[in-house]
Amino acid sequence: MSGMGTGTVMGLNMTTHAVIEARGLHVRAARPAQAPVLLRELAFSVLPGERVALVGHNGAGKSSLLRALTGFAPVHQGRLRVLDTEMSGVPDALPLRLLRARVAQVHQGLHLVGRLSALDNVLIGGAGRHPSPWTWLRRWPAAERTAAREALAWVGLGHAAARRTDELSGGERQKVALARALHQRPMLLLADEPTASLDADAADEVVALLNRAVAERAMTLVCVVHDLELVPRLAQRAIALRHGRVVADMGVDAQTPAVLRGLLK
Amino acid sequence: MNAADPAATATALAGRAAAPGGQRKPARPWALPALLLACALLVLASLFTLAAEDELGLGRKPWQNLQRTAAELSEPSFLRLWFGNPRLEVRDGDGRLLRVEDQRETEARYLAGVGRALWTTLRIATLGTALAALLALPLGLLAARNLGAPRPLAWAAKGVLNALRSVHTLVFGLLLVGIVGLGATAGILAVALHSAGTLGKLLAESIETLDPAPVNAVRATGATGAQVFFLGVWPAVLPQFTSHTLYVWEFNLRDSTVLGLVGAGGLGLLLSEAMSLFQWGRLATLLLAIVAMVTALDALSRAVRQRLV
Repeated sequence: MSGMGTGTVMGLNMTTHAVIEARGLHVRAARPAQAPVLLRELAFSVLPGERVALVGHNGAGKSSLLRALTGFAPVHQGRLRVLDTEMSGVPDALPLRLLRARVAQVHQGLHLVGRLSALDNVLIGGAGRHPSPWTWLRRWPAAERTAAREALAWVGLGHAAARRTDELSGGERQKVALARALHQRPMLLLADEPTASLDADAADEVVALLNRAVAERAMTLVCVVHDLELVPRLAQRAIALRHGRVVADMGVDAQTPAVLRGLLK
Repeated sequence: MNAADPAATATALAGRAAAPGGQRKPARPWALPALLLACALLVLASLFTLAAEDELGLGRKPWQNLQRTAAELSEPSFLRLWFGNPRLEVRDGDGRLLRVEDQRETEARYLAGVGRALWTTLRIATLGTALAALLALPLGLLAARNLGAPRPLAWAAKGVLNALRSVHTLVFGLLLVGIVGLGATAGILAVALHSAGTLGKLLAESIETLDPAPVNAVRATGATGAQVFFLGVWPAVLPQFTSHTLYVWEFNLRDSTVLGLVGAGGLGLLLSEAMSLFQWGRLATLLLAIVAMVTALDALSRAVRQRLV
């Protein structure tokens, strides 16, 4: 399960096991009239338990790929399967919701609901499991509340459960975001530059937590990484994108940051 | 870097939309002068056409009239509570004594009536605003473009909001007095209809300017549409909506004071009575009462709103 080399060849043989499988994937922006094709002819597979870093310049298509994985950017051509859900064409609402419930996302910066408490934000991770109208009033089953408190404690913010998230520091918010992702109990974790807006210490902490979470819960991780030095700490495989195409798909070792830097120059 | 199309398209787009860094908007140096010129022309046109129609006169004796009005208003009737004549003798033309009146007692009874009218006005404004908020909610949600209501419904909601907003409370009052009769009900409904237009538009706008990232993050957990709304949108717009409602309530307190002029209850009834009987002292009392109430409740509402954000 480690260092899968070129995902293309492996993927063909392991179709049913792959967490993500892309074949000739083209993705356009939501308003194609004014936006170019964002991704073209992507072909790769990600296997269970893999930790993959997506690297590339701004506009290379990393975030677009993450969006396409959960149906936030439409597949224009080709095939994309995520956790056995077919993303080609327009997926129906229900399968899309069920897929999203199994895929957690951590983004760069502010995607928490600022006026809600840390605990309320974490509880939102259970929305996919509990579509009940009670949740509209932020009333969750006792088991959910316990689990959310545990997730907050796990990231070291058990004491901050009642605090509003717009009063927390950037590092603390990112930990709350991670707690929400864990509370979701996902099979696949997507992270989009999770340390982008943090100072070095907070970034270190978030990376450590992310690694621990992925290891302890046997999740698959796909992480957009801007700081190439972080690649060896976060991933065992790196996929480099340029102008919407895969230009490299390699195992990660100590030299990888230097190699990638040369490649993306 | 090869000149692949994304980069090229991005540069091409930069000319029209927001470009990364540097020039953000295409420079239009003539735009502001042209706008100012258009405004100046409109002002001048209004001035000269009205003058040509002889509509800009000041009446026959504006200065004397102003002095007289000021003098009459400078003796608000409530002063009689202390300085009034306790044994005012009312006589007819021949000097026969008709009755003896205690001015202080009469004024006290009048002021009690003013108090009741103020209280009615406050209730009209409050119930009207509350009803407006209830009406504005569904309309505002339908009209907000980013919530994805079906197009025809959204257009209909927007049209209704515009129509409600463009008809003045007083006009609604006149119409409603004809429908539900004289009294507070007409006032409440008039306030509610006009304010629903204002509040609905403000609600739609605050939803449209919401940061989409937290909302999409809720959607990304597999939440249903309703969950996305209640967990992601509602907590973020509720404080603004509350603040807007209080603000509109302040407006309505002022508006409701004149609603009585058309028979829709409250202080306005006393206003029109005082004016048609030329009781300028009482009019002065009423105006002071309005100023006092509006100032006090404005301050209250502002204090609450500042703590909301």
